[in-house]
Amino acid sequence: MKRSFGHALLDTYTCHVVAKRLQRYLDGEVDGATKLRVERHLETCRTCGIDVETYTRIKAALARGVTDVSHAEVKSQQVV
Amino acid sequence: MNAESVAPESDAQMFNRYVTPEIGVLLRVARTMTSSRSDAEDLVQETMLRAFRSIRGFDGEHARAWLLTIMRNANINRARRTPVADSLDEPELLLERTPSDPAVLAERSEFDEAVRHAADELPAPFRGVVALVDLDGLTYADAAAVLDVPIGTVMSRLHRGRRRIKQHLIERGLAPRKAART
Ligand SMILES: [Zn+2]
Repeated sequence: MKRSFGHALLDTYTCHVVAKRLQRYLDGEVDGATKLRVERHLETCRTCGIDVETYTRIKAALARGVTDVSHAEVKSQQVV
Repeated sequence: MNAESVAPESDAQMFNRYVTPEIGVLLRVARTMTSSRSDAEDLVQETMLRAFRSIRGFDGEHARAWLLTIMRNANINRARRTPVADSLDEPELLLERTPSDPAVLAERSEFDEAVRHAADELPAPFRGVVALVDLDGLTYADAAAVLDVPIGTVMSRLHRGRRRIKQHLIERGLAPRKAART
């Protein structure tokens, strides 16, 4: 269902649309209206919520790698 | 009127304004683009030198993307001088940053380990984008400048890379399986 609840100024996204926008949303690469629509969908959809949690944890785990740089072993692996 | 208040900035002032704040980001990205810390530092030095030389022609817009493009080109020159390197247009980007401190290693959760393992296993084009965006914290536009590819390519590689990482986690029971979509 693309439209729902009648009262909304913004269309409500379907799971399919949210899935397409989700990565950009998590990376802060969507405009305000898109952000709002994704968030509105996430308020009620557990399925997409699970995806958000998983991807957020993945991003956080990768970002933690950055702190290793300060005391990183110099890796002598050659670029092949 | 004070003539000095409207005097154009000196090269050094422009450098301090546009380049100096980006050094941390440049170092992180250089660490992703090169195989060792010393190579990364050399690359950033070369980038800063080139930036200083061309600062007059810089329009003040998108300093980070401008610097990343300079760095990308400097890295291509560097790779040409290094006989082991090839694939100049798509330099191998590294995720491996093994901490030497055992306490740091021990702190890492199974989840983090699985994520990093899966990321390291990604095909090079996916791994590169994941490294630039998730490790180095670049925007899509800046990652596109580093790789000299369209933003759409950055997005599709990033999404496919992350999906593979997620799949790896699901297979190891570290992430919930996808439920039916509504
Ligand atoms: Zn949903």
